Amino acid sequence: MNAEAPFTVLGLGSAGVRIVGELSRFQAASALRLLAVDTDQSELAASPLSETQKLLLGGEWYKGLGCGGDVTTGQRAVGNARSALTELLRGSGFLLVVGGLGKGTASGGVGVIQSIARKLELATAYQLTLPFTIEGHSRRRIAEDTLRQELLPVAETVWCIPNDLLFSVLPSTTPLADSFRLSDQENARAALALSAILRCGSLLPVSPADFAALLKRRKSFCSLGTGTGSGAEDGANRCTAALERLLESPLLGGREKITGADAVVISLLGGESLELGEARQALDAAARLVRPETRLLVSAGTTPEFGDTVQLTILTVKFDQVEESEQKLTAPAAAPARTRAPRKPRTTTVDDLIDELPLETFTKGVMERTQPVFYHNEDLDVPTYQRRRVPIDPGGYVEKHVK
Amino acid sequence: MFKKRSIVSALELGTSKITVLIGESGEDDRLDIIGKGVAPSRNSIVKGEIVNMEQAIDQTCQALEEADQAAGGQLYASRAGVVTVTGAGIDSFQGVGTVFIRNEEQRITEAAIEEAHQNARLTQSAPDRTILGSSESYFLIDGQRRVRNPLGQVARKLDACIHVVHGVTTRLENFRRLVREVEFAELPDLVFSAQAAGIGVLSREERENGVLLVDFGAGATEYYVEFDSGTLASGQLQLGFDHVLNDLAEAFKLPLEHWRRLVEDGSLSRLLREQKSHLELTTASGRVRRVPVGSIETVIDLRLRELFGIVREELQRRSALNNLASGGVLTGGGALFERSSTIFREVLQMSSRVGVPMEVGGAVTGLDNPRYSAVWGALKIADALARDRGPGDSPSLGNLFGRVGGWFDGLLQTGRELKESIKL
Repeated sequence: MNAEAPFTVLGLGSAGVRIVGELSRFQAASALRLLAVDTDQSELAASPLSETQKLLLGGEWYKGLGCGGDVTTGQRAVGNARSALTELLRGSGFLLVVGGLGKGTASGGVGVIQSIARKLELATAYQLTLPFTIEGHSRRRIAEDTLRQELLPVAETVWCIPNDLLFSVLPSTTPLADSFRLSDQENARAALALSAILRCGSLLPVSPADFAALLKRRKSFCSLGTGTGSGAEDGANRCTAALERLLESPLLGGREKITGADAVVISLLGGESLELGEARQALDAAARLVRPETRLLVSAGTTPEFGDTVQLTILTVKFDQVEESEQKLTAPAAAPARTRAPRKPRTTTVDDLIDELPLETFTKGVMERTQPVFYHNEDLDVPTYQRRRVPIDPGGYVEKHVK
Repeated sequence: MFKKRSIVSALELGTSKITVLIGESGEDDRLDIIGKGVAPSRNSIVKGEIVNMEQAIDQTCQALEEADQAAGGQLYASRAGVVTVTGAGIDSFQGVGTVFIRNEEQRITEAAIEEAHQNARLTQSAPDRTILGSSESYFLIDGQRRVRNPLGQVARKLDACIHVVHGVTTRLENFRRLVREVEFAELPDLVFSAQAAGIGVLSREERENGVLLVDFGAGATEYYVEFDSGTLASGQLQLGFDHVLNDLAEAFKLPLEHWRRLVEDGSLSRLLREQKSHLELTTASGRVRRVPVGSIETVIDLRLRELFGIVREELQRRSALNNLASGGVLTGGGALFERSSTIFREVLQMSSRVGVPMEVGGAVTGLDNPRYSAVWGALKIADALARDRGPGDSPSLGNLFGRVGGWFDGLLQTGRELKESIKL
C-alpha cells in the first residue's frame, strides 16, 4: 500500500460516519484515505471530513433524511450510488468498511459494497458493530440477518464487535451521550489499529490472508483492545503503559476475553524510535496473557507517522459455537512461521524460576510474616507491580563462553 | 525568670535504627546535644511497631549506653524523656468546642478561650484508644471568621478547633513497656512522631504559611499539615522505604540488602539519573546478570506513587491540601533517595524540599540528616516540657491546654506573655 494505492477506510451509515469522523482526528490516521457515506444529510454535515470525502446517498429521493432504519431502503440507496462509489473506491489498495449494523444504511449497504469491491478486485475487511442490547431485539435481528445472509457468504474478513462490551467497562453513572461518543472513539481507534496492522507490519507482517484464514466464513464475536503509550509522556515505559491502557480498553471487555479467546492477534506499532528490546518485551508480556491452545498471530511494525507513540493492539476472536462444531480449527500453512517473537536464550537457573512463576501468585518477601497493611481492601505489603499486574522484565544472564 | 540548666532526653524506636539523644538546655533558650546513641533495630521493630521485645530492649539499651557515655553519665538526671511513636493505629480527629460570649463588651476573654478548649476536649475517643496529645488547629469567630488569636476580639460565639491524635491503647502500651524495661525515663511522654518531626524540621514561616510534612521512614510514613501555626491534619501509614526495597527484591530475585546497599551508596540514584539501559551485576559464580533499568524504574515508581497517592487521598479527605503556600517538606531516611522527592512533587503537586533538623546545637555532629528529624524534634519537645514544668512540678505531659497559643514555639511565647500580663 502506498500513495498510489491508498488504504481506504469507508464509514457506512451514521455510526460509520461518526467513527470515521473520530478517526480523522488522529494524527496517525493521516496516511489513510477516509470516506463517509450515508443517507442522512445532517450526519454528513456534522462530520469533520472534507466535502470530497463525503457522499450523500439517495439525496434526491430521500431528501437527505436517512432511510429510516429500513434495510431495503438502505440497500436501494446504496445500490443507486453504485457508480459513484465505484469511482471513489477505484485505485485503492485496500478497503476497510466501518459501520454499525442494525438500522438501514449500513445493514443494507454492505452487500453492495462487497460486490463493488469484488468487481474492482479490491481486498476488503469489515469492522462492524452489533447494536446495544438496549436498542431492542429487532435491531439485533437485522444485524444478525445481514451478517449471515449478506456478508459472511461472500466477505472474507468480518470483525463484529458487540457494542455491549462498553458496558463491561464504563461505570453505570456515565451519561448516555458520553457512552455513545466513547463507542465511536473506541471504534475509531480499533479501525486505526486494524488499518495499521494491515499496512505497516514490516517486522512481523500479518497480511489480509492471515485474517481471512482466521475468519473466513465464520461468525465470530470479537473484541478489540488498544493501548497507546508515548515517549513524551511515559518515557521508557511506553510499552508497559500501552499494555496497561490496553487492558482497560472499553471494547476489549476485560482480560478474560484474551484468556478465553479462540484466537488472538497481537500487534505492536510504533514510529522509527521503536526498539527491538521494547518490542520483544511488550509482545512477550502481551503473549503471556494468551493460553497455549489459543491460535495466536503476532505482528509488529513501524511507520513514521506514529512518531513517538507506540500502539499495542489485541484482537480477540471467539467463534460462534454453532459453526465451530462444523469446522475444526486447522492451522493454515502460513501460521507456524508467525508464532512468537524470538525468546531470550533459556538458562537453567534463575531465569526458569522467573518464567515459571505465574502472574497471579503474589509474593511478599520480607513482609511475609508481618501484620498486613490494608488499604481499600488491598494488602499493601504485596509489591505494587504485582497487584497492578504490571509485567516486569527481570532481565537475564549474559552468556559468557569460558574456554 | 530564673532558668535552670536541665538535662533532657529523647528516644526514637525506628524500623531501621533506634536513636537516643541527650541534650542540655542552657542559657538563651539554647538546646545543646551532649550525647547521641544509635543502634540498628535488627528486625525487632517492623513497620514502626515492636515485634520482638527482647531484641528491641537489647538494641535500645545499646543505644542508651552509647548516648549516656557521650553525655558523661547524665542520662539519669533527665527531667523529661520523650519517646516518639508511630503505627499503633494512630489516627486523628478535629474536635470543636463552642462558647457563647456573654460579657458586657462582647469581648473574648482568656477564660472564654479556656472554656472553648475544655468543651473541645470533651469529644470522646473510642474506649480502646488513648489520646496521645492535642494541639490547636484554629479558632472560628461567629462561625465564620477564622483567626489565630481571638483574645480581645468582639464576637458572639467562639469555636475552638483542636486536633486530637489518638492510638490503640494496647499497641501503645508496648512502647511504654519497652521504655520502662530499659529505664529510659521515670514517666516518659509519648509523642506522635509526625508532630515531633514537625518541631524538628519546619521553620516558623513554613508553619504560618501552610506546609505539608511527610516523614518517609524505613517502616512507616507519617504526614502532618500545619497552617497558620495550627495543626490541620496528621496521620500515619505503615508503609515505608523498606517496601520499595522489598518490591525490588521480589521483582528481580535479588536480596533486599543488596538493593539497600545500592541505594545507600547512591548507585541506584545515579543509574536512574543517567538513564542507563541496564544494571550489570556479577553473581558469586562469576556470571553476569543484566537487569533493565526501565523495569527497576517501573517497580520503584509504582510503589512510590501508590504510597504518596495514599497520603494525598487521606489529606484530600480531610480537605487539608488547600492553601499550603510553603509547599511540602519531605524528611526521614526515604528522603535521601532522589526519586522520592520527584514522585512526591508529582503526586502531591507541590514544590518540596528535603527537611533536616534545624537549629541543632552542641558538639555532636552527623545530625544534619533527615533520618534524625523526629528524634531531634522529640528532644526539643522534651526541652519545652522541662522548662515549662519548673523545678518542682511533677513531670507529665497531660494536655497542654489552659494556655492560649499553639504547639511549642507559639505555646511558650504566648503562654509566658499571658502569665506576665496576669501578674500585672
